[in-house]
Amino acid sequence: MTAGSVRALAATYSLLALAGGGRSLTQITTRLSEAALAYGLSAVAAATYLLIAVALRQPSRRWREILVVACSAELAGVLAVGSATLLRPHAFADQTVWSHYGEGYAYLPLVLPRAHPRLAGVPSQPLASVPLTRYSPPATLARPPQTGANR
Amino acid sequence: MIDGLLLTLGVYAGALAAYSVGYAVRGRAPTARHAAAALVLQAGLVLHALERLVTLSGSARPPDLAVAVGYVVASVLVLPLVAGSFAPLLDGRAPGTASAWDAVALAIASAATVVVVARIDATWQ
Repeated sequence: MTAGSVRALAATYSLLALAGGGRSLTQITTRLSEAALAYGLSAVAAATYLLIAVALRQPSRRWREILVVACSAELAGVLAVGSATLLRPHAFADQTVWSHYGEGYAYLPLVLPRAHPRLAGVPSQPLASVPLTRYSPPATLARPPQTGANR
Repeated sequence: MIDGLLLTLGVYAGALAAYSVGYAVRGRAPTARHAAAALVLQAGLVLHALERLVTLSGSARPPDLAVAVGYVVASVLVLPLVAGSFAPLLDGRAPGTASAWDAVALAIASAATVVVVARIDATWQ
């Protein structure tokens, strides 16, 4: 992952934070009683996106840990709320950012946490794809077995 | 009916998005021309926002005022938010790392501006 791609990702998360934050702020200030759960979830989503956008711009190890936690929480949120809106649609009086797995946002909430191996906290190269020829055993193991000459 | 300035801004933002996508597809980083074009777009969006505020002082108001004003505010925030991601390039923390991905970011911001412009048109009818 290059510095440029991280910048593009941070820019995308900033826009998601703006979109979700503006939407939830307007809804909460004007008609909170209509769908408090849905609007509250949208606010949580927007706050998560803002945190990710900030964390992506920080190089320190601590921010990297915050980034992994925030992305995991975001993925868990979009999976949980996305599934809930499909299985129990009447539980939500209005759409949230995470409804139907982020359908209203071109499914970016579902895709983005997995778009960056560093965000997902997994190695960028699957272990199964590492050629076995790269493996070099320690010298003690590589040494041929002793024959009876030393006995 | 969409007003002239809003239509111009939407078309201009769409053209900037296409221009940036062209650079990204060819693997080229954006240039000073992209930055200048984005600045012109931002100036137009600020001008448009001021025009809308003046409109609000009159008798004609959109049906859902909070949503309509929210989209106008969002329209002037999109480009500065994305520009914030380029701060490491500008302040010397990541010199020489400009890449095609920066053209992708500009394309996303321009496309988002087109969407916001369309929503402004819909909410201010």
